[in-house]
Amino acid sequence: MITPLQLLRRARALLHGRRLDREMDEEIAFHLEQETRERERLGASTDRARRDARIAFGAVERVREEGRDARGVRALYDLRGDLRYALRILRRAPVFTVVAVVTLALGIGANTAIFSVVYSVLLRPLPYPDTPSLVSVWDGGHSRAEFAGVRDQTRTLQSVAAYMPGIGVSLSGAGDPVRLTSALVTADFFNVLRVQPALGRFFRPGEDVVGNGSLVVISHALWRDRFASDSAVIGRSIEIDGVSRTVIGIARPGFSYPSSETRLWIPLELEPRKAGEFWGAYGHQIIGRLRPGVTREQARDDVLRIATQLQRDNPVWRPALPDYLQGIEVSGLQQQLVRGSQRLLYILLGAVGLVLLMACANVANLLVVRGAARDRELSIRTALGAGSARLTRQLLVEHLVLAGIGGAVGVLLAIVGVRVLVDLLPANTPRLSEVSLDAAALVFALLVTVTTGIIFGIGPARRLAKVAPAAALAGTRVSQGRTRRRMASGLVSLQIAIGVVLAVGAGLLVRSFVRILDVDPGFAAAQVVSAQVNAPRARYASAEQQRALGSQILERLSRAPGIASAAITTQLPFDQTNHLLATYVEGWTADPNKLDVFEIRKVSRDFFRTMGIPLRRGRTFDESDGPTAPRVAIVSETAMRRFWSGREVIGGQVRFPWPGWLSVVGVVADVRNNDLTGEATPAIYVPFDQDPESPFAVIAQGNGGAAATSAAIRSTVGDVAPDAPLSSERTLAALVSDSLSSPRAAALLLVSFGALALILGSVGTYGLVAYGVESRRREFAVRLAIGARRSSVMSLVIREGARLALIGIVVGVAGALALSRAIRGLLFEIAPTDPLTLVGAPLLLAVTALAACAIPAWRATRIDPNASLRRE
Amino acid sequence: MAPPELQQGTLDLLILTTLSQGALHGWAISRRIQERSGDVLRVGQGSLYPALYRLEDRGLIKATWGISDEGRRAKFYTLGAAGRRELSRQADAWREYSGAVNLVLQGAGA
Repeated sequence: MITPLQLLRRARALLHGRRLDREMDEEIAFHLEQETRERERLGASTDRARRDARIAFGAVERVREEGRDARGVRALYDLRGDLRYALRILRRAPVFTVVAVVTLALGIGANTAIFSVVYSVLLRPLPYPDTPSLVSVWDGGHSRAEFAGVRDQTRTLQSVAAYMPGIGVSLSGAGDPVRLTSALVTADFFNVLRVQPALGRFFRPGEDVVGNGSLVVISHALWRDRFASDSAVIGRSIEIDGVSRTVIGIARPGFSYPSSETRLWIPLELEPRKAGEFWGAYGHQIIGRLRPGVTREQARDDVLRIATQLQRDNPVWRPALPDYLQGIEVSGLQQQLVRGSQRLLYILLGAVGLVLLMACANVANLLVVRGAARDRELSIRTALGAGSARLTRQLLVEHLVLAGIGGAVGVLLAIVGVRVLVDLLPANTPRLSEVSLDAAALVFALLVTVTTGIIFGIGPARRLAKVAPAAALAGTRVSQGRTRRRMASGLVSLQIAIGVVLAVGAGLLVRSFVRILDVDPGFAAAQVVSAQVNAPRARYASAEQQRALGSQILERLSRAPGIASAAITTQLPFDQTNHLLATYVEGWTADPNKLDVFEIRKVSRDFFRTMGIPLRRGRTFDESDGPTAPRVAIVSETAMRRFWSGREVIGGQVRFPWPGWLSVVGVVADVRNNDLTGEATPAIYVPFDQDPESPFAVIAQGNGGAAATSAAIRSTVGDVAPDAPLSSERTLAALVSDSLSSPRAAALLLVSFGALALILGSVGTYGLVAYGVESRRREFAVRLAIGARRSSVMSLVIREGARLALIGIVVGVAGALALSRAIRGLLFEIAPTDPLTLVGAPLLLAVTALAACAIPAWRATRIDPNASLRRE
Repeated sequence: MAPPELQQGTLDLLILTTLSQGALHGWAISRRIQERSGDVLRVGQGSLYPALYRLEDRGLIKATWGISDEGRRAKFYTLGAAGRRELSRQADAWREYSGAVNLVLQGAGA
């Protein structure tokens, strides 16, 4: 038991450690003096008396430490001493310290940055109460009818809501018209998430039914930016897409579900009488709260029961599909949100973990190699009575200090790294805006730092502490050198093995990325600029109004200086939307209830020319395809092959779920949509004039460059329809490039890690081989002295390096093959066993390792036998 | 015969007893124990100082710097009130213990 008084004394002892130590020294000196005098008095000579007094006393250092022990402060005291000593040692070897700190900082920094992203995106609970009960009901996009079915019949959910994310709307009547992202939500949306408004209220049950007033909830950011945080906005009307809506509430700061861009929440109108919209519009996400005690499996069975009911009741729409009941899932909302990003992030985490392991191996290597220089120092301390445990601890503290400095610098690097990662990762990564280096990341960095310090520090510490003082002091280092070199050799091989794994991963992703770049999107994107025209719906409600708007814009734009061609489309390839429409193909669709889905684009005459989409058969649209002319369509090659195989496609008849047949007049090349790695889907094009729609995108190609074309579009639309804001002004090349952000990020990050691994590996190899040469200096000198040629000494050194590299490469290739399953899902048209990569990456490592051997090998040949042997 | 190893508890008792007659420095304590025991008990200096620090830590003895007989600065240890109580407690325990051991030895006719 320690009394408070004792604790106080200890604290004082610690604070005055140095003074107490001095006092202890003085006391011991006094004792020795007394003892010497006593022995002299008994007749011994002065020298003899002094010596005997010392022998009788025993090891001064031990007494000192036991004295501290007795004061109960030894551990703390030692720690302080160890820390001070460690800092002194590190300062004394600046090159070693800097290399080790930089290595560790890179390893810890990269890991902390990646962990921050993984944690923020995948692991941190969603910012809503009781997230475990929050589920994605029936994963995937669904119709309003299906939502209504779940809502009305569920036995396992206490609340359920549907929403349609990412709807672009125009806000007018509050400053300049502006394009904003909204979400259409059912009445229970906020209730399911259990969030409260900052001001006003959210929707009430029944407010998602047509005719119950036009309401809107706005985000805190919008309230601040457009309404100057004025609370009088509650109850005011704002104009959204030309419709006047009453603001009823303001969300709390930071709330922007379902996407970080969401600024407005508009009631999703449930109107069973509009059957096409109610049953035929998919893409609604359904979320819900499980009743207490209900599992996800039970909820899934419940949804399956409801789906079966829908299938019985509604044979015409999607429930009629034969596989309708397949793959119904109820998953945690969080898991469902992050599903698409999981693989990439975990692979990055794994890769960066390997980099850290490599950094540890590298520093351990440096420590072992440097240990040679410390033999004497450690031997002297052993001779002075420091125990092996004591030395181990001293060295461990030294290594932890090193790790600590590395970790601190690493956290600084991670702050920068997180920003780089957020820019680099695909913009559609969920919760990317929430990513920050938070407390969890700092705790992670601390754990990694300590673990790192122990991993790289404990082996060398235990080995170094076992010095045999007599041998070391006498300068015999041969046996020590050999075991040490064996350990360091293992570490170098390990590094090369990890380097091979990372290089193979990077190589595969780069090769896969190049393959993706080789995919022909089906159009010539180079100079095409696009912009979406967001005409307010209320003012451009009729087909005539929309048609007139389109033709006015096109007429003026094609006359604008520098514009070579211009067109309109209702869907732009790679704009991350899918416009899918059920289509019946005459002569193919035997069952009138079976749906074939086409991508549909309503386009103006010059669309194919502007986009550079080649015509394969028949003709493109022309002046004859006016609003009153017979309805026509153009289909894609894939559609032709699938639905008209062995039949004449030109003149073929198709229709949509409503009456009216269309004649196919042409076939164009396939165009990829959104994803170069996906299959081309059947596509159908109809003339915009025959079936106009709003909003639509204007595309144009000019000879004045993208900026000039963009300016021409802006001024034209501004003149023709000043109330229609433009959005998504991009070049098509940029749209395509955006779709590649995920494979690009994967390739880029793995290449960075691979490069880091290569640098670490070569530093490690260089360090070991250089040490090997140094410790065998005498051997080489002897060899040279008895006539060995310098080239043979050189090859001796190189051969040693080559042996380590070979072991590392064999292990690394085996490891890469073992890990190939993990990376398969990220690869496009490249097998994880791609021979070129599996040969190229190890070759790169081998060349690097040999290059790292070259300098020390060359130095070995410069040894002057005379000088070296005389020195020994 | 080699001097018997002093057990820690015994050493504490001897130090406290020695100090009950007045302040002494470390070397004098070890001399005094050796003399009083008729040269039988020798206190290894390696254990003396740790024992002194331990007793100091427990608040049983106090250390002050003073001047030795030869005029040198030395650290003197004195017995505190708590130390006196501890001494009488330990001395009683020791007498009881050694008396009991003696009885056993006599009973065995050794």
